[in-house]
This record gives sequence, C-alpha cells and structure tokens, in this order.
Amino acid sequence: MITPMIIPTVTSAEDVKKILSDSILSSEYITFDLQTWMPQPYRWRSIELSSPTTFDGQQPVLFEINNIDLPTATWRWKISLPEHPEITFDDLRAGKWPKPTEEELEARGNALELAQRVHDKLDIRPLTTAILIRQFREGKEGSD
Amino acid sequence: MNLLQVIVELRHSKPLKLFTPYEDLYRLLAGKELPERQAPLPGFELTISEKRMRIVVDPWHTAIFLGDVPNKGYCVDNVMTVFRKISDLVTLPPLSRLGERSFWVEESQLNFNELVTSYKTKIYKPINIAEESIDVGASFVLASGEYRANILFGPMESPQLESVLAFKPPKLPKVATFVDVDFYIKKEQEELAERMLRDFVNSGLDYASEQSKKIVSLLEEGQ
Repeated sequence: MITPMIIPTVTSAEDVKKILSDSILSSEYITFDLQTWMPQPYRWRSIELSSPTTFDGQQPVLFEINNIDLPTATWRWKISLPEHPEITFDDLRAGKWPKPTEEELEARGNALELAQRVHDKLDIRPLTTAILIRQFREGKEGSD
Repeated sequence: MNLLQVIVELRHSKPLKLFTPYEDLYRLLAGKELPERQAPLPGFELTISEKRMRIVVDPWHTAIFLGDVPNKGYCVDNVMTVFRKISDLVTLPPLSRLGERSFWVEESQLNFNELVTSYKTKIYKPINIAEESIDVGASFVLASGEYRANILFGPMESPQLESVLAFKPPKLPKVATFVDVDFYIKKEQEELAERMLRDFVNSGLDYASEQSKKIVSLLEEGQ
C-alpha cells in the first residue's frame, strides 16, 4: 500500500519569531521543526489540517516495565471453565464462546430428551392470560 | 476485520501543570508571569511490554497506545482506567482535540498482485495511471456529525504490515487489506469529562469497525 505521509502542521503563532529585532532590517520568520528541514521527497497531505492522532511524545523520558496492575474488568474477572482452560474473560467479552466438547453435546442432548419426557408426562401447557382468567373464574384448570 | 492497535490521544489547549513547575512557582511567588517563556519539561513515556501498551504524558498531550485489543470492552476499560489514574495525579487541561486511531486488517485469499488489481477495479476508474500502477492506496476524509475521520486503506504484505505496527502481534496475514481510521473531534477549550471520553472511545471504535467492514465488503463483491 502506498502510504501518504502527513506534513507537519502549520506552525503556531509563537513559532513566528523576529530576526534582528529592534533593527530596521528586522523581519519575521517562521520556525519549523527539525523534520521539515530534513531532505525528504514531497509528502502528500490531506485538506484536513489537524495532525493525525499519535502517541509520539516530544522527546519524552522513556521507561519500560513488564506488566501493570490496572483495576480493569479483565483483571477483576477470572474465568475458569474446566473443559476450556484456554478461554479468558476477554474471549467471552469478545463473543468468542468455546466450541462444546463431545461430552457437553451428549449431556445437552440427554438434558433435552429428559426435558421433553417431563413435558410429555406432566402435560405442561403455557400459562396464558386466558387460561389464568378461566381458572380464577371457574376455580379449575380450563382447557382450550 | 481484526483490530490490531488503537491509539487514544487527548490534545490539550494548555500544557499540563506537571510540566511547568518553574512558571507556576514563579507566578505563585512573584505574582506575575515569567518574563521569558520556559521550555516545558520533557514528557513521560511508559511501555508495558507484556500488555503491549504504551502510555504517553507530555506537556501538550496524553495518549494511550494499545498494541493488543482483544475486544472493544478491553480497550474502553483500559483507556478509562489509565486516564482516571492520570487525572488523580494532575488535572488534565481543557481539550483542543480528541482522537482515536485504529488499525484493522482483513486477511486476503488473493496474492498481493491480485489484491492490487482488485483495488484498481473497485476503487479507481480505468485511467492510465491506475492501470499501470503496481501498488495502490486510498485516502478519504469523512464527516460524521461533528466528528471527522481520516481513512487510509490499501493492500499490504506482512513485512509492510509489521513495519506500521509498534508491537508485532503473534500472527500476521501474508496478504491483507489494511485500514487506518483516525476518528477525531476538535474542541474549543472543553473540559474533559469521564462520560464524554467513554462515549468517544466507544463511538470511535464502532465507527471505524463499520467503515472497515464496508471497505472490505466492497472489495469482496464479485470475487
């Protein structure tokens, strides 16, 4: 991919300085940052003058550590699924649910079958408003 | 689309007090401004290697870089926690700009040359310069309400992809469509509010995700 580069943005008012101040020869000039003076090919820039979002600091002092204890949800919530030890809280948060194992699929099938048998045995029907009203009015379970 | 990295940057309209102690002391004790403006103290940059995270606090901006973003919630959570910690130490000055830049990739089943050809067919008219090109890239500036987005995208091979990332992820596709979305808003000396930042980070990622998907689906049409 050809990457257009961004030219440093227009210098601020404070970068406009006076050369030979208090003299008849004085004139204003504009300071640019070092980057601009480096020999570089022409760089494309967008009509938007706002310089891009960056994390580059101005000659910062650098520090490095291995890890950090941030009180985030990831840190607070530890997921422990015995069948899927590799699954983390962030996987679940990203919607990456583990694929069920064969044992889980079998157990699910058995549970559904058992539920169906219970349903058939007890003749469970949905408790609709109409049935409820009929029960209250007639003091017994109605039938559709 | 896979999210590779996110930068959230707060640009301030005044330097952070943390970096101007001499001016502040002088003003406090002398009761007037320093006659000559002092250069602010250098900024601070902390790299957290295991988390592939970088935090930058300097006179004019505060930024968080995430080189590992498993999901949107992780990003929002970490950004908010870090900014909350920094705000505990120093009051962040009013904002002049709020930006969120995210890099997305979608692995391509085509080889690089085929992907370039696909770009030329879908994005450009068949003019000489487009027909003859061996590599292409596209850049657009979009507006979404009061927000702006600079969107750059194009085909990339893994070495180029690696070169644009600050932390190398464990796995990179050999050939991919790369999308860089810089979602931002300019502010007029607006005070930072936690809710505002949270909403911005959320909507920035939603917007970038939506645009990236649109680009990829356009390229995949008729393939």
